[in-house]
Amino acid sequence: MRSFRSTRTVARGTALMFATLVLGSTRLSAQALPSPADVISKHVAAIGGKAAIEKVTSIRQIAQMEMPSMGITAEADFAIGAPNRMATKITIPQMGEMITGTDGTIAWSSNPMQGSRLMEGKELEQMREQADLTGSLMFPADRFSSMTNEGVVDFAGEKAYKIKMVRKGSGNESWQYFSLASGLNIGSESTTTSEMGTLQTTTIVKDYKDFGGIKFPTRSEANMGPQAMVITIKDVQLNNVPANAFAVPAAVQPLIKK
Amino acid sequence: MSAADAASRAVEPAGNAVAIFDTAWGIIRRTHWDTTYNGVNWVALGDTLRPRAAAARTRGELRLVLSDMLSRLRQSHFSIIPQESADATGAGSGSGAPGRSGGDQPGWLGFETRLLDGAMVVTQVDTGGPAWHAGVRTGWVLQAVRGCPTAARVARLPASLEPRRRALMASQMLNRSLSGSAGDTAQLSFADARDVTRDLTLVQQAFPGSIAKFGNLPPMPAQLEWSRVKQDGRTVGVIRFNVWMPVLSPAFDAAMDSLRSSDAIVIDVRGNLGGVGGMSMGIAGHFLDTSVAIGVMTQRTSNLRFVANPRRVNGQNQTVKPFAGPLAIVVDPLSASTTEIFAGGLQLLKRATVFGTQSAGQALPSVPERLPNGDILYHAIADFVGPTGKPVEGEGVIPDRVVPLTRPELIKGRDAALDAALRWAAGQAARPIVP
Repeated sequence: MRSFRSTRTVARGTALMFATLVLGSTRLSAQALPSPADVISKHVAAIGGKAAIEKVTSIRQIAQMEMPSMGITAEADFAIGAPNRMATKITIPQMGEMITGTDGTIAWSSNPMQGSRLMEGKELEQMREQADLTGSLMFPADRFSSMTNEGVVDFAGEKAYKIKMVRKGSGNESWQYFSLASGLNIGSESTTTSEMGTLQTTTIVKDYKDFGGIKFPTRSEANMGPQAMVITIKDVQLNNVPANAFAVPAAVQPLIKK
Repeated sequence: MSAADAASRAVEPAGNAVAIFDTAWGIIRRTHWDTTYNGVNWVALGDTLRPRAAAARTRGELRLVLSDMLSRLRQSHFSIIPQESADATGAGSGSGAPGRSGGDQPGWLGFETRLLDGAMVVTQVDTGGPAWHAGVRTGWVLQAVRGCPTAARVARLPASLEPRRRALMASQMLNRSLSGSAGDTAQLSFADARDVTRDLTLVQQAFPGSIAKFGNLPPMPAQLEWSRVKQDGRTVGVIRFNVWMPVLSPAFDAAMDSLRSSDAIVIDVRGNLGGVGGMSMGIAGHFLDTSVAIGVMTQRTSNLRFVANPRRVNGQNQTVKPFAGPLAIVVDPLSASTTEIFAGGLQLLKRATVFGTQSAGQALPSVPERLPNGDILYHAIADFVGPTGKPVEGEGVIPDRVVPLTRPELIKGRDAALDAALRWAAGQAARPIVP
């Protein structure tokens, strides 16, 4: 789900600044596997259906973010707008607001500890991909150079299809897990790229709830090396994000070459 | 939180001591970056200490077992922080607001000491503070706190300690005995500049800075001061701060905005024991014109570069250039952790010249994780190497110009390390002197 892939951006921006529970995924069977398209189709149907999703032009999520190994709890506001705009704001006590975003062309990061910067290279590419609203909700085939069903595995206590996806353009690989029982996407394994380097990230998403006719997971547990991050979604608003939410922040504007 | 309060929870029942022990042991097993555990057979150590944990009757006894386990690693940044210390809020906690007078406010006496030639010598007195008003001056020797001789306490430190470790432990020990709340009194005995004993009763004032409470870490006094100093016809900006806490980031940025036109800058981070590692990148970015790593954090499965990005936007959202003039950093054995990452990184990048005395050599990135009983397991999760690949842990930062403090100089009101940094900084300034 897009909403929770954007949380990995958040994780990069926060956990990395201070500092996986790698879930075993035992391959059980490779026979009679449905195609990736079939698996994804079932997921899309389970969260509300293609017709409903296609009406979504923006999503706003209000969340609480916890980093248990630090004892830090923050308020988070994630917004994403079609086709590929994103704005996240994390408010951490005694630190202030950490902002990341993209208007589809440039991407930025700004926070009181490190100031403002524009993202470049793979990091910029990753931000643009994560801001792809439709791509994240429905995993459309045209976004990927390949999709492979690698079989049925145990993931987060469920039997799940493990689908390898290779993103067009960046070549970024991820493994998405889809519950056999519900069809829902229940997590992923991927590499998170930042200017600091790359981190293997395992994310479990669960507790799907209906918001405006579409189901969103309301809990995300991401593990990155020795650190973990838990995000609890308190509210989801559809088609209610003002366009200026994705405007380049004032603290970033001086960095843009005219 | 007073020491007495902290002790009061130590006598509480240990609870499910084995489960708590196994949680702590398991966290280290899972997160220690070195799968040899610095040469310790971690499984065998767990088997050895688990029965002792099971026999612990009180929290205090369990803390001793856990501390024993952590000490076997022989590395910095492994400790047990009592719940009562971690959960104390401190004055102004959550707001970063300056402390106010009141009985529950952390106290402040307004002077610092260092271990010099076996004595706790006053190395700094804040003008306007209780010590200053009582007449205390640099170079005096703090002989006793509440009748307890400091020399005797220092003498009890293990003889095997290397000098900078001894200096660090002596200062930490003394600071604990001097801690108190605003309004508390402290009976202190000094030897003045002429070695005449001065018995003084100082009243603790409310700490004049902020109280930083970040996550599971205990509340920490946080203060940043800056000034312009005229040196050899030049203007040198001097910034001094005592801890790397995000609450001070805006203050540092504001100081830089004010000092941007200075001929040179000196950053005094003596006594700064560290804090949030990420802040080092942001501060370093004020002095770098290209994105560059000041070091690399090495975890079990990944290496993360501490990238400092040039700070090209000021507090008014205007375009600025990072400070390009001479930069001096002053350190001492009480400069640790993030301070060493910052100072060592800029030194090895040849962006800063370091003055003072060798730093602590305790620079392992770490996190404060809560155990089931509420205590905090403070544990390192990574090694850290500087931009040339050399570990910061152990050797720390060796100044380019070693300038130790001496009591005779301090008595004369001279801070030899800072003076040397100022002279160097002024001498390096490239611009013509403006009459």
